[in-house]
Amino acid sequence: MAESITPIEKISKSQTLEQKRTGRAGKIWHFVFRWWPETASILGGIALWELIGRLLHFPFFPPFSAVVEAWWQIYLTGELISELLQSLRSLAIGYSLAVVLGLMLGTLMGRFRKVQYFFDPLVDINLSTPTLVYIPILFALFGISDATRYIIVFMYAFFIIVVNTLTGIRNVDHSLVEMARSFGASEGQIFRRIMLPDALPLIMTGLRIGMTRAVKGMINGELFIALVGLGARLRTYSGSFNIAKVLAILLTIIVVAVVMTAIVQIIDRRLTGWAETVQDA
Amino acid sequence: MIEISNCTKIYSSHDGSNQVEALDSINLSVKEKEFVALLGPSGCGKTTLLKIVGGLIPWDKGSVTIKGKQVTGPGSDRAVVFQNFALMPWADIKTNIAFGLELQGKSKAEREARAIQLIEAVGLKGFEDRYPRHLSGGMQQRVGLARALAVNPETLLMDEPFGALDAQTRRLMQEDLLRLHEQEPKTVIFVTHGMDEAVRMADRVVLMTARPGRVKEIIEVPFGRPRPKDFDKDPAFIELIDYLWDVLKTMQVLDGTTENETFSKES
Repeated sequence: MAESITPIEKISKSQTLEQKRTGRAGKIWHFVFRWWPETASILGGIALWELIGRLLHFPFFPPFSAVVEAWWQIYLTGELISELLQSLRSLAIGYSLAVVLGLMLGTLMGRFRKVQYFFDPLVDINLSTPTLVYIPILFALFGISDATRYIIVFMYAFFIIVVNTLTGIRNVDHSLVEMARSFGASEGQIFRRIMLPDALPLIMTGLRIGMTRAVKGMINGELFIALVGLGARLRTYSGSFNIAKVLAILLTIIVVAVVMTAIVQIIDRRLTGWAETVQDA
Repeated sequence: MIEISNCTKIYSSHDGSNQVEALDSINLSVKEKEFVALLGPSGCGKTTLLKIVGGLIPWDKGSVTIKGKQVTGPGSDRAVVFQNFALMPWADIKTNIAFGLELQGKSKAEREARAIQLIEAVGLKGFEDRYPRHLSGGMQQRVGLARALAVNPETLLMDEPFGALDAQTRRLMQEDLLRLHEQEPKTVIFVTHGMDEAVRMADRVVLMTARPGRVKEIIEVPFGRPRPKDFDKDPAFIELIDYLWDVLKTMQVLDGTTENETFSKES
């Protein structure tokens, strides 16, 4: 009996400990406590990277510390921030455009069968085609302009947003629509009060995947047009075989991707917290 | 008050090759403040009939009138209680209950006041700000009932409202609904597949047959309101249930189709 009680005591004790720790240190400790598998995974990965890098002495595999040092060097020149801002600008413009137009087209396709049938082939083709194939065409059309990079970001994010919005609106809970109708709801009210909120979890999933794809689009656009932004840096450094700096830019890109996706995720949680247990189940 | 005469409903597949006669020449009149139970085997079209009265689906022949006026769609004089509760999972209990009022454009203050009044009436005090997923099935259907009552309808249309609940919860809900009905009688059409539920709740039981759905018999329930104490131990109660089962038993068609499959042909 005593043994079976111990774990419960342990839990309650650690919880009271947690509550006692306030302030910044407490928050960090709480974070580590909650996310320890993730934290361990990342720290372990870094440690392994450092170890192999140091043992190998291989110029194409610098240890983590060398990459951090390279990152600091680029940062000190001030170029990192200006390139980052350039990249983020094309991300923001391309993604916003994809969200606005994607939600509009997805909604229309979800509500009207004919519109869906008309656009279905286009959306399907573009979802499965690697967007990279468009880069030469866009390059030919718009040249080395900002527009090219915005459009690439847009193309990466747009179609997944359309498909998720369409699916969410199309698969709306029919019994809720009937319920609203029984209380005399107009078509507009059914759309605003039932269809949109019911579709929101799927729509937000589309926006989240869209964001990760938009970051890919941002980098690919810059890599292949290579004028500005982090992608351009990536190209310059890999051209001169400065692997530490390549990896430093790569780390920056990863951080951008994680932060951007986290922002969308936070908005998602705010809006669709009610669906959490449904999604978990 | 509600007059259904020669009402026929045919579901057909998209190309029209497959036709199912869900309702065949239904005649039924429901008096004001009367509690009528529609009882029948799966596929007898009882839910279809309820939805026709609710203005949710059109019919093909005959007429359906309420207070002399043809039913053309849903109206604020009727409110539906759904078998699967049909609560909005993203809205709290208060908002769910006030949904009908919100659609009518009532002010926020008015909605809140009415919602709180009904939350108390159905015994959900303290759950105003919770979400449907926090509630048990029985409590969810209390919300469904409160939402219907909130718009103060003359007619309640209840589609197997307690069908998804466990036996104990169902009995509790039946007793609560009886109490509410005795306090403030409304016209009720109550779809059920429970023989004892029909007799327990209704003034009249409409026994229907399946494929096509027809009215087989209308039976007066010999118990007044408020129901006498222990009326469910009365031999007349047990006899009536036995009789209903004897008739229903002969109608059970073992052809493998269910009510839902028949209905899915409409969409």
